[in-house]
Amino acid sequence: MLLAMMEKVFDEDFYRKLESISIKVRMTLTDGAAGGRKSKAKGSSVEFSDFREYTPGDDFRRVDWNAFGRFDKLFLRLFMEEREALLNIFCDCSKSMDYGEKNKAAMSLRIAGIMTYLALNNLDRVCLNRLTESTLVPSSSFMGKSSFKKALQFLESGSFTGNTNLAASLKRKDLKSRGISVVISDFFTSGSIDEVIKYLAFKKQQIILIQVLSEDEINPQLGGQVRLVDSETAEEMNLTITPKLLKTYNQKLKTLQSGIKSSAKKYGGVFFQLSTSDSLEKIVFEDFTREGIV
Amino acid sequence: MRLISPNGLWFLTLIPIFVLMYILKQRYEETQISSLYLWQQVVMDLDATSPFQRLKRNLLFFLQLLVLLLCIFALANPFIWWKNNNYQNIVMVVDASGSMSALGEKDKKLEEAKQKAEDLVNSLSSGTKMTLISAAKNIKVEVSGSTDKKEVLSRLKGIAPTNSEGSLEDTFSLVKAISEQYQSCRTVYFTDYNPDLKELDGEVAVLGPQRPNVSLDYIAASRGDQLLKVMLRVTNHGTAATDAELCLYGEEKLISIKNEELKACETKTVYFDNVPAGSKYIYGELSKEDGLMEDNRVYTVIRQKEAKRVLLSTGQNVFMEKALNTLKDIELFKTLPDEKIEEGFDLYIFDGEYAGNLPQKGNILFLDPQKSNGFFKTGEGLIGGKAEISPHSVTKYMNNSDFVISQISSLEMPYWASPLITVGDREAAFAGEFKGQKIAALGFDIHNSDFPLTLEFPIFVNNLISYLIDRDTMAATQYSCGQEIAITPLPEAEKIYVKTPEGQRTELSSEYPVKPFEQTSLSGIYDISQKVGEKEIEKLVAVNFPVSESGLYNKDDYENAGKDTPAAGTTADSRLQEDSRVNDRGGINLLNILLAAALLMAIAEWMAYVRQYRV
Repeated sequence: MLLAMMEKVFDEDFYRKLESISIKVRMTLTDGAAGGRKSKAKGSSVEFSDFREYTPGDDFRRVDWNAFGRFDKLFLRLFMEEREALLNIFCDCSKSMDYGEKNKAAMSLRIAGIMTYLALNNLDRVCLNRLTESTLVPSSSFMGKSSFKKALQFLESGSFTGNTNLAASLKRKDLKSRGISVVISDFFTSGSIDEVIKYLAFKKQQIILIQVLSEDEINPQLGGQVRLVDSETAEEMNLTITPKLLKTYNQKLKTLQSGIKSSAKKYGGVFFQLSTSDSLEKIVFEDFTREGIV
Repeated sequence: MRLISPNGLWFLTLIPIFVLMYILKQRYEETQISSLYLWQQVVMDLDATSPFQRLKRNLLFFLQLLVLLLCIFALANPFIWWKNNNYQNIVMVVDASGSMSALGEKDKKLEEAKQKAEDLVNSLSSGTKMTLISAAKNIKVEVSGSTDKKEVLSRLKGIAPTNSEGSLEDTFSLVKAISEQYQSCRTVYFTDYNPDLKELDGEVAVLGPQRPNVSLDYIAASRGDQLLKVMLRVTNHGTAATDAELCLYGEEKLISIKNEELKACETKTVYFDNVPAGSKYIYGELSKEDGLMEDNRVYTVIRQKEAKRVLLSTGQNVFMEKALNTLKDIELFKTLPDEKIEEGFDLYIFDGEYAGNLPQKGNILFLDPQKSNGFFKTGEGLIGGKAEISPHSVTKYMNNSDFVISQISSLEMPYWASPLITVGDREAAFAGEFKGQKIAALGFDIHNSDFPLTLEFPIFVNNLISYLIDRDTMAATQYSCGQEIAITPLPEAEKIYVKTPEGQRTELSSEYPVKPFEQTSLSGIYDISQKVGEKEIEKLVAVNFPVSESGLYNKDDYENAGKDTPAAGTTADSRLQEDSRVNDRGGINLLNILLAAALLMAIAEWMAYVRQYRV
């Protein structure tokens, strides 16, 4: 059913729009086979990037002799090195994600799907990871458009159960090379998110944190005497909802988000929040663009 | 402050139950959310920053508790006394006489008096015994010693203007008798003047102010040859000169108008000459509105018939003469048996021997005829016996007669007559109509019977004379409001109806004695009709506002007041200050205030609920 829904969303017109956009990668990728992505690292490719003055130890072969003729100075020609990027998508598969009238899980899978498509379309490598409890289920590495279907199948195959300790399960991923790591979660997690960010930065990852929340979580429509039941732990809490309580909730949510955002920013990452009621078009063309992902 | 029903405080035991219920209340609406992660932080934060939060959350509980407490306190019926007016009993006397129909401050004084009495009743504590008396021509105890405010208020509402004469002085003995049976008793009079209460301990609520009033006191019409001469008496009760436009109506048609200048306190008699005589009744009217509207019209009935002339030819008959003298509406003439009689009487009564010719016109009553005449034959005297009454309109109301006749003459009853009294198989009296003359005969000397000594004799004579002449059975045609109209029915009347000026027709029982008609609170013309066979005999009666009620003050007061030069346009009694003590309410019953407060609290609680949870 999920696939059907996604196929409906990703109609041809939508694919065409996506193809013209590619994820910008600000990090230098040193490892891996040559790919279609323009790396900020200068290297040996045909695409010219810049000049710089010669310093001892540089490769003589890259000296621009025409420029030497004109300026009487040694300049090196710098070329864009084209490398494939490795995109790791970590999808929080806890029970709390399976919530909302417009399901958070569905939304996070769709976002993962879009990003996978964008990456595969750009000849990048994609690895999908499902996070449940303290475990991590990685997929095989997907390359090329043809593997998109397989990626979707992997996304579909998981279920949303249990509680997730984001830091513990994510640390199980052994990130060997630089790349882009996308974490899609509600970040209502017991483990420290700082720890996640630090781990990913340590592993030289460009960090993209996407918080998916339902409308009920952004603006809770609660009133009077309520018994809140945690979907993950079945823990109960009796509350008398007052406007002040709701205000404090909103403040707490904002504090959480700004905390994650500043931590991510410290390590060159981005954090943003999506609502399940947002359309995918809005997410891609507004949120992704704003955050420099595409 | 006193609690009238302290037993209501037992409901305070509800409070712990209420608190317990509040504590045990588990009305949480279960809602599943994705994670408690944020909520836990929120609660921790709130608990840490605001120790009063828990209390604030229970604001509704406190409001509800307050509502409950107010309700319980209201059940205990607290009462605050003012100025030690701690009376257990109260007697209220409402003046319902004609003068109370005058205009007070805004409404009629009677209505204002009722309103004041109502306010007083409402201010009384609920245990107070209330007695309500309405005083007009008759004094009526509406409610006696009741503690039921509702009943008293409904009776108070039911007091209607009587327009009759009446004086509060008449109530004093009754009020005294009532108040003496109580230990502490407060008496309040609601009236439009300041009565001398003498030794009676009471308060007077004087309804004011007194307004200028012009009244029509009297109307009379005397018959000339063809036309009427009408006399109208008009009085200015105000302290300022005024003019009055007097209108004279014949039935509903305006006949004449006159303008009269009236000095302060002046009474004038105004004559209207050459008034056409065709109307059944006439009335005078003052066209200008004044303080009391009820006395602005005065009615009189024009007599259509002259008194009947009756000729009694007798040597001496004390019983008959006495009986005839009770009939006020006939003109009785007497003659001796040997005198020649004149023509022109409505009825001839021949007692015993009569030698002359019988009259050709007029009706005849023969008492103990000695010889035969053109109407019937007489025979020899016979020994009488116990008299039997035969059914006839003349013998109505005589069913219980028990008398004997010692000697009767043997009368031969003609075919056109019907028997009235029989002795054995002989007719002792009969009556009938022959060739347009009504003839009746008594075949015995009433001195030879104990009949005149019985109660039925005057009735019999009255009925017999009424039968023989078409008699006007109601002499009086002028009454005051509140007076009873006495009705003497025609002997043959089957039904009696009274039509009031409002057009309401009431049937009266024609059984003897006929109860007088009492509902005469409205002034105007009352139409009394008696049904005799196929026809209805109509008789009009004029009922007028009593003159004594028009004067809104006593003349003495005016004379004294004149020296003090009262303000123009008001009468002397406006000086009377309303007795302020009446406004001293007994106290305030807190019941309604507490209930209102409870209601307000409930509204506040609801608003707090809406503000807290729905915004």
